[in-house]
Amino acid sequence: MKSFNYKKHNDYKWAMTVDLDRCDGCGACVVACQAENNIPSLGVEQTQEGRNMLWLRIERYIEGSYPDVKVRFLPMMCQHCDTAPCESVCPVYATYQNNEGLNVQVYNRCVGTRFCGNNCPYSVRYFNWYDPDFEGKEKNQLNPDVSLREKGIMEKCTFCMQRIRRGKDNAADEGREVHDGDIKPACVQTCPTGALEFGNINDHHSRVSKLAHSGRAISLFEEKGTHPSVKYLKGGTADVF
Amino acid sequence: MVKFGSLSTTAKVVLGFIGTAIATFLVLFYIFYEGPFYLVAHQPTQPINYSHKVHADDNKIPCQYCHTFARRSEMSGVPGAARCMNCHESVKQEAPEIKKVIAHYENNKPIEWVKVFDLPDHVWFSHKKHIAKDVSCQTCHGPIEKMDVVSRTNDFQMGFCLDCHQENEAPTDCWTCHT
Amino acid sequence: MDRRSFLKFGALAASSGVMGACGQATQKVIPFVIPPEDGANPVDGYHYATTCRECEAGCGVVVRTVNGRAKKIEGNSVHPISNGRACVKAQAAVQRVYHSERLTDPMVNKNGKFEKISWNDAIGMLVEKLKIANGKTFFLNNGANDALAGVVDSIFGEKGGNFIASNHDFGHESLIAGGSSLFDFPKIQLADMSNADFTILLGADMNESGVSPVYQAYTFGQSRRGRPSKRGRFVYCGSRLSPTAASADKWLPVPPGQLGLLALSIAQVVVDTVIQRELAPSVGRDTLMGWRQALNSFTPEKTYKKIEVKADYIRRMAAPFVDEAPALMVAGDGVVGFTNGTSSTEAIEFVNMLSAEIGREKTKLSQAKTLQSNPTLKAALQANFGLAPEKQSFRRLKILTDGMVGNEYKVGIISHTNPVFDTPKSLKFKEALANVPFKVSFSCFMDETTVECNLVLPDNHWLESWSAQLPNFRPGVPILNLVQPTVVPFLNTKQAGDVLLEAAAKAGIAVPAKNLESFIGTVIEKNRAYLKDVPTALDTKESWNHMLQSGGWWPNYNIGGQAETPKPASLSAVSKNLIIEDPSFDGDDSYQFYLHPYKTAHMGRGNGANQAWMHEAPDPVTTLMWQFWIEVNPVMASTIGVVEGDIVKVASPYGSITGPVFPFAGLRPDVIAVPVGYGHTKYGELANNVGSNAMNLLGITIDKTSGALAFRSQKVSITKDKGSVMMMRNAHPRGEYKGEIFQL
Repeated sequence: MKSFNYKKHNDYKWAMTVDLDRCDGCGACVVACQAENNIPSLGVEQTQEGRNMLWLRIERYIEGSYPDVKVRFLPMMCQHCDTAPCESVCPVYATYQNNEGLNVQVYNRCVGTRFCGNNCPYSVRYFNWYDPDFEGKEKNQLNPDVSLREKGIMEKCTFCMQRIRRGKDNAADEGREVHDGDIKPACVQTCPTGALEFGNINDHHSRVSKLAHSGRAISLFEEKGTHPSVKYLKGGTADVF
Repeated sequence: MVKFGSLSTTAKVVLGFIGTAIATFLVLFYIFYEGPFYLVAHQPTQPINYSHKVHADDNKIPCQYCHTFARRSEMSGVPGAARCMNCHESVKQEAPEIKKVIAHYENNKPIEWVKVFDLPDHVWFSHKKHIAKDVSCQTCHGPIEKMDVVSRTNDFQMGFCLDCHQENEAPTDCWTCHT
Repeated sequence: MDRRSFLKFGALAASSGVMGACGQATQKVIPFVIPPEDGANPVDGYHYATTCRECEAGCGVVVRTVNGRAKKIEGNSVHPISNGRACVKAQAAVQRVYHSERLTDPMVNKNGKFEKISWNDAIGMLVEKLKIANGKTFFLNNGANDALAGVVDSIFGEKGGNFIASNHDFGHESLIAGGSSLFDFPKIQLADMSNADFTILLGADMNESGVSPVYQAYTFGQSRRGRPSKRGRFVYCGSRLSPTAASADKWLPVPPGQLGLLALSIAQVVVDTVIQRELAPSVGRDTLMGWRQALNSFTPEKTYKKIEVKADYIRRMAAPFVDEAPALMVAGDGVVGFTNGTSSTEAIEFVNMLSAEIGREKTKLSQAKTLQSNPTLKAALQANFGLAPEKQSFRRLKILTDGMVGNEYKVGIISHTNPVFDTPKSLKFKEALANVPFKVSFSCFMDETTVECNLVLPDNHWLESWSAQLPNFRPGVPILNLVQPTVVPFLNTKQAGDVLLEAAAKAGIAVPAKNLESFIGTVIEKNRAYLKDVPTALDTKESWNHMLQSGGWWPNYNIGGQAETPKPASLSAVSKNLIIEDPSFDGDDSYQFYLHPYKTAHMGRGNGANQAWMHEAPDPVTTLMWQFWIEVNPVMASTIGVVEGDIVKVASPYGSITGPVFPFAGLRPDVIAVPVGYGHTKYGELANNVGSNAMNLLGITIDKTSGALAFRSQKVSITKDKGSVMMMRNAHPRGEYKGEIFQL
C-alpha cells in the first residue's frame, strides 16, 4: 500500500482569524453555518439533553457586577489544530490532519466511539444521536454539496470544505492559484461586522496571515499545545472615562 | 487464564453460541462486501426504451452532445426532452418510443428516468475534474455505447476509485471525495 | 483481519443507513423538459440578486439556487446597505420558503374551520365583497414601502371611506420624525459610523431594533478595526446591556426615557465650548447665544441630579464632538420607546449637526445628505413604491381600530402582518376585527390574525415574488431595491399584488397595471432618465435586466467615502426644539418597575418563532435556546427570592405574564426586560405555547409628536410564582476561556 505523503510541502494552509473587537454577537454566522452545512435542528427535548449540534456557537462571558459589567462574545468552532487531541484517540483513523492544515472528519469511517469529542478541549465535536430529520418540504433547502450525517457518527466544522474545494477547482480551471478572498466559509461571508477572516496563512500577503501575525493574535488553550488554525484577535478596551 | 474445559456447560454453550454468531457475521460480511452480491448488474426498466448503442455507437453522437454539463459541472446532466427534439424534430417521428418523447415534450412533462449509476450521499464526485484529465466515460461507466439497455457494470466501491487515483497520482486525501 | 477489512467492518457496523444508500433503491432523475439557462454549472447553481424582505431594512442579497430550489442567501456585495453581508434573519429565510407549515391553498373560513377552495372561487369572492363594500375598505401592511403598498394606495387610496394603515416596527416613526425635522426629507439616514472615532450609541441596538442591522454592524466593524492604526471608541447608554452595548467600550445605565436629556446635556457642553473657543464661525453668534440660553437648564451638574450620570462623564463624552470630530451619536430603540421619543431624537441629531459644523474643515463626516437626489424621481418613487410616512404611524392603527369598532369598514385586507399578536393587548385589535364583516389575509403562514380572517390567500414568499422596495432607513444615497422571483412557486400560491390587481379590475375599480411586474416595469421605465448610472442608451429590456442583475438601483457610493456634510439650513431654526419633556409612564405607584420589552434578532416581533433555526440559535446575551425568559437584575432577583429558572409573574394594569427568570447584571435594578415575539397561540407547532407575550402587559401610550407607540412606557410589578424550569443554555460544557478573554 502506498503511503500518503502528508508532510509534503503544500501551497495552502487554511486559517481563520476572529476579531473579538469587532464581534457583536449577532448570531448570523451560527445560522449561516446551519444553512450551509445541513445541520439538523433537534428541538426542545434533545436540547435539554445538551445534544444540539451547532458547529459554530457563540460563547458569552460576563464579568463584574452592576453597573461595571463586561460582556464578551467568543465565536467557537473547530479550531483545526495542527496537533489535534482528537486525532490521536480515534481508533479507526476517521479523523486526521490533511496536508492543507485541516482537521478532517471522515463520516463513513467513523464508528462513533466519541473518544474524539471527549478529548477535544474546545468541545466542538458533535455526535449524531439520531438520523437527521429533514422531512417533506424542508428537504428542498439541503445543500447538495454537503452529505447528511447519519446516526452514530461524529461531525464538526469543516471550514466549509465544499467551498474550499470549489474555490480551488475554479482557480484550477482558470489556471491560477487561489486568490485571497476567493474562498469564504459561510460564517465568514455573512459576518456583518467583518469579524471573521479566512484565507491561506502560507501566503504572507493574505489578510488572514497579516492579522495572525499582527501581535493581537492569540490561540485559545495555548498551554495545551494544540496549535489551532483559528487565531483570536484580542479585543482592546479604550479608556473612555 | 480460565481453561475452556473448566467452564460450566451453560457457559460453554453460551460462548459457543456467541463464537458461532460472530463467525457467521464475519463470513456474511465478507461475502457481502467482496462477493458477487454487490456486483449484480443494476438494470432498471426505463420509461422510454432508449438505446445508447443506437445513438452513441451506430450514429456516433458524442456523449457530451446530450450530457452537456459533464465537462463543466459535477453532474453530467441527463438531457431534457428538448434536447431529444433537436434531432427527432425530423428523425424517426413515427417510432412508438419517439412518440412518447414527443408527447412529453408537447405536454411539458419531464421524463422520469430511473437512476442507474448512483453514489452514496457521503461521496462527492465531479465529472468536470475527470473529463478535464481525459478520463474516458467508459472507465467508470463500462462499454455503455454497446448497451441497448444501460446496466451498471461496476461496483463503485472505494477501492475502485483509489486504485485509479493512486495509479495516476490523483489526490487521495479523504476530503477529496468525502464531505 | 487486515486493517482494511476492519475499516469496512467498522463503517458497516456504524451506519446501516450508508448501505441503504449504496444499495439499489430506485432513484429518479427528472430533468427539465426545457432547461432554464443552458451553459451554467447546475450544481454550483444560479445566483440571483434580489432584496431581503424579512425586515424593512432592504438589504440586497444574492440567492443561490440549485435545480430550481433556493439553497443559500448571501449578501449582495455591490449593495450599499448590505455590502455583501447578511444578518441572521436573511440567512434563515430559506427555511421559511420550505417550511412544512406554509399555506398551500386559498382557504375560506367556515365557522372556524378552514376549507380549501380554488383561486377562481377565492378571487370571485373577493370581487363580490369589494363590489358590495364600494369603498369602506381598509388595508393594513407591516410598514413596508414597496410596490404592493403603492398599488394599494393607487387602487383604494383614501376615497370612499377607504383607509390605509401600517403595523410599523416599534418606534421607527419617531426615529423618522425626529430625523426629518432637521433635514428636509422624510426618511432619516443611517449614520455611517465607519469614519467616526467616537460614537455614542443611545439605545441603538444594531442587531435587534430592525433599523438596518447589517449596515450598522458593518460600519461599526469598520470603525473598530477597519482603518489602519485607528480604533473607534463606543459608549452605549441605555437601561439594558444589549449585545450592542456589550460590544461598546463602556455601558452607562441611564434611566428609561432620559437619553434625550443626556444628549441635550452633551449639547450644552458642546455649545459652551464652541462659544468659548469661538469655533464654528458659520453659525452666527446670536444663534449660539440663543442655544446657550435654551440649554441653560441642561448643565451636566443638573443632569447628574436627574439621571445619575456623573457630570465628569458627560463632559468627557462631549469633548470628542468638539475636539476630534468625526464623533457621532446614534439614536435607537432605547430613545424612541418613550413619550419624548421624537424630541429626544431631534436633540441627538442636533448634536450631530453641530459637531459636523465644527469639524467641517477637518474631516468628512458621513452623517450625510442625499447625494444628487432628483426631486422628480424621489416623488415618483415615493408615490408608487411606498406610503406617506404619516400613513404609517401607530396612531393610524389606533384610528383604524376605533373605526372598526364603529363599524366603518366592510372589507379588511391584511398583508403579512399580525397585529392580533404584536400590538398591545389593550388595543383590543382582535375584538375590533370581529366587527368587520369580511377580512382577507395575505400570508405565508397561519397566525393569530389570519385565523380571524374569512378568506386566507396564500402569498408567494419573497423569494418567489416581484416587488420594488424603498428602505425605511438608508445611507446617504437614494436606493430603489428590486425583488425578483429566484425560484418558481412550488405551492398553489399567488402573489398578493397580482391578486389584488385582478380582483380590483374585476370589481370595476381602476387599476394602474395588469400585474405587479408590469406595474414596476412601467414606473421604472417612466423614470429611467433620472436613474443615474443606469445606461439610458440601453433599450428598456436591457436596462431592466441590468437593474435586476444588480438587485436594484442606486448611485455609486462607498461607505466612509464621498458623503457630504449636510448644510445646516435648519440649524439656526432649531432652538425651539431644544426642549425635552419628561417621559410619562403608565401605571401607578404599586407598579415599581419599568418594563423593557425588546426585540431579539432571532424572533423579531414574533415572526421568527415558527422557525427551528431561530429557536436553536442561542440568544446572544442569555445564550438560551428554545425558551422564553424574563430578565431581572441579580440584586432584585435575590430581593424577591428567585434564582435562575424560577418562575416569576410580571403584572401590569392590563394583564400579566409568567416565565422563568434570568438574573442579568447588565440591567438596571428598576427595569425588567422581556423579549417580545414569544407566546404565540396559533403560529404553528414550534411557536405555540413557548413563553408569554409581553404585549399582554402594554397599555396604549403614544408619543404625541410622531404618533408612535411608546412601547417602553409601561410600569409593572413582579412577584414570585410557583415552580421552576431548566434553563437551556448554549455554552462550553466544561472548560472556558474567561481568563484569556478578559486579560486582553
